Amino acid sequence: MRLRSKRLLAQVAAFAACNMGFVAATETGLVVPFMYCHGCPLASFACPIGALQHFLGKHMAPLFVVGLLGLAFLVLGRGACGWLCPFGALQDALMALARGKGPPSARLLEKPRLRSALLRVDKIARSMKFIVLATTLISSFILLGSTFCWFCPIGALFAGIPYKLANPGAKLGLPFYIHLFILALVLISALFVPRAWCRYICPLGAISGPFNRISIVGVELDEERCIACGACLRACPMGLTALSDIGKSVECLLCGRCVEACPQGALRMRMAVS
Amino acid sequence: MRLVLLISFAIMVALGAGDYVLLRALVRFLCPSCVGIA
Repeated sequence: MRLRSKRLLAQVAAFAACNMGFVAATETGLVVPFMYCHGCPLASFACPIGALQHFLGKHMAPLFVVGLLGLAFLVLGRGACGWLCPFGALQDALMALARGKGPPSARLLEKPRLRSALLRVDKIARSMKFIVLATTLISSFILLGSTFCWFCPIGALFAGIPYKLANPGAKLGLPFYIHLFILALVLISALFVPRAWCRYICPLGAISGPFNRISIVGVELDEERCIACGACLRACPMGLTALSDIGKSVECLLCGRCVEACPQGALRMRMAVS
Repeated sequence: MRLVLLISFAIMVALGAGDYVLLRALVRFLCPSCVGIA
């Protein structure tokens, strides 16, 4: 089976697994290693960011959540974003709409005059997810609530909208429309910049990214085979710009698109315990 | 490094195992203010 088919299968399976809550036995107290709102009417797992905020808001140490996430990220690194996350899969689908001409961000980067300025802005904007993470955790602790959830577009997509569909009589407040507006902004952004949410905002990506260097799953480069053609970097949805970043950078989703794109077979997915 | 982290996270899971019940209660709990439903 091709890597692309495997990834699609994994994304569909993860989405299905998240929505098994209609079977009581599958309504678990476990967190998934990607963002998926536990307020979803069919949810079977808890959202890691939602759960972290919940415990911090109660001034409890979220040992169970941090431990589970740590174990998951030790195995997967940021691979859960590339292979499992339903919101990531949705962004991939949006990116596929721009296939052919390529996403507008990639076409702008081909212009030499704009390239360095755009890359600089992109680099600064990527640090936003760490600020979002820190702000979320601190504000939840101080304000005793799930502050990120007040704005989360994933919650709007997977919980707010389904809840409204299941309960047509439910009264909607202004925050619901703020959620929808943010969701629309994020999805429109994904049409212009692939995986815009994952690049700039996702607080969970800020946690899982650093695990790429030590995770069991990874991407390996055979330098002897590599002819530095750049096909891997052009295929990267996260816009990596250096070969050395593949599989190691905080930004790499370990999605394997670079592996598929390499004409020399110099890249491969690896599972290394030692 | 990986082994040390593995053991640390496993200990955290064991120490926080009691939170499982709290988390289970959280699943499918829709916070009305979070998604803006009055």
